[in-house]
Amino acid sequence: MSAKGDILLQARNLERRDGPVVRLRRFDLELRRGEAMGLLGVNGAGKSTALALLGGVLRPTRGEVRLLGHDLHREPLRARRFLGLLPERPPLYPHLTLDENLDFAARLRGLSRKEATHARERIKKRLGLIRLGRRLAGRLSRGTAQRAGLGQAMIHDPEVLILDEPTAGLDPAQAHELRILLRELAVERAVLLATHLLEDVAALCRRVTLLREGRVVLRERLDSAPRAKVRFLRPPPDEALRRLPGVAAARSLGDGWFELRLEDAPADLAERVASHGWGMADYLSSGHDLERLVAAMVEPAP
Amino acid sequence: MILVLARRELWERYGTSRGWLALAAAQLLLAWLLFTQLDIYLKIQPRLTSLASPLGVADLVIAPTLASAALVLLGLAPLLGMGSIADEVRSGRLSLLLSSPLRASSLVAGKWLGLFLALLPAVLLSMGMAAALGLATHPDPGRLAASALGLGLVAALAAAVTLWLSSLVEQPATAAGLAWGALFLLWFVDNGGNQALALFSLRSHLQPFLEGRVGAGALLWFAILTVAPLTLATLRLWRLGGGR
Repeated sequence: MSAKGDILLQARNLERRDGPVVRLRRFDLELRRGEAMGLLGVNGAGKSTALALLGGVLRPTRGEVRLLGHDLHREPLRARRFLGLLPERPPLYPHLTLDENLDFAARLRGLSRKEATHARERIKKRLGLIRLGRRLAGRLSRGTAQRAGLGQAMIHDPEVLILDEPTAGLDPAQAHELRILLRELAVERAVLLATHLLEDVAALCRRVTLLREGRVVLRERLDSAPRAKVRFLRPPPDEALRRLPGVAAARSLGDGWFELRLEDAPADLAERVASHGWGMADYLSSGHDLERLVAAMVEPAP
Repeated sequence: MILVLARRELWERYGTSRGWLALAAAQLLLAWLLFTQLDIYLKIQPRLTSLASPLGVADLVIAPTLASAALVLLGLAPLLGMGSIADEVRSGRLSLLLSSPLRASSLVAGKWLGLFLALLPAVLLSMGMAAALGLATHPDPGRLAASALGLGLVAALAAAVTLWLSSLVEQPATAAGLAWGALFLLWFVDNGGNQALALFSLRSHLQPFLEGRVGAGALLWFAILTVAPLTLATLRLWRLGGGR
């Protein structure tokens, strides 16, 4: 295994054309171990094309992708061993049980039957799927199917995880759970996440690349101490808020509103606030310049 | 890896009732054809005996029934295999296969083997029906073996053509339509008696096998028409992103 900080995924000058249509152009990327990067853009911006090229599902018209130094299209068998891909729709066979789907994914990744069984049980435990092994994949809820798809992507313990809209269609609680899991996974791996949900970015990513009409229009390193404006139904004293784990500073703005500086991603804040009974009525992320990202996403192309 | 894919493919065909229903329908049709041929034979048998004709059950019942079985296989292959690749593309599951450390050729070989194995029960049941006539007559085992080989080659070719056409489209029904069109064209291409077109005719290349003759030319013809679509399907997946 390579050391933390090593480049695990690298793309240079990637381009994909379908006839006269340019889906993606001059796309460069470097992703290191322990890093999670968000690939942002509105629908049709080229996120899924970029992910398909990086995941080996599409062949680039130009450029190269390297996984741990191995060219994805010249040494595909070697390079793909390091890769786990979760497409927008989990690639499950509906007539197979969850166990059979995970086994199949493991065998495809070259695991022996015994290794596949071991990996399947490990993944099910990690993803909270332990009791669902015999359920047909076609009968899984959206959230469970998403977790099962993630299980397929990481069954061979890949170094690089590429995820397309992992929380799309999940209810807030499921999305929250999945974000916590992804944050854990990103500690030892490189995670690339395509999304148009700023909550995903705020919770997981330290860097973002913004795509518009197939071009990279913005690369941004996000503030490591995000801020948020929060309104409480039962406002606590400033001091109590400052003592809340994950909150570095708190300032009352009046009418129940507070400005908080967070030490980490804000995903767990709601849970902590709820446990104190203060009742979070509104949450506005003002850190990470996320509003500026939204504006950049929808601006007309230059 | 090829076997893992083949097993998955086989399970996909017979894991639901669709495959079993298709197989049962094919078998019923063949049984009806066999009894029809047998009925005709029994009616003309006295005349054949009086004319001292060399034609017997093998020529007048088994060979026509097995030729019909080949035609049934051409109908069955697209029905079972239309979704082999098209359904993977449509459902987004192709990304699971293409992001795995798997060559496009292995992917195609595994899927082809699975579809071929899914068609084998139809071949075996047809041969079983023909062999059952051995209870009343004495069919030539060599001729039966050659016929079985011929039907096996038809199944292999039909699976390959279906797989290739399934790789070209996203809708399984469209793939089935294209595969039926291509396979029946190969079967009926020399209907007008055109010698040049007979070169492409599946029926005229199968006929020697049904007569108990296994020729290198016919074997080569089947090999080419099986390998060519598999190569095209491999190239198609390779162009999409799979390693060659």
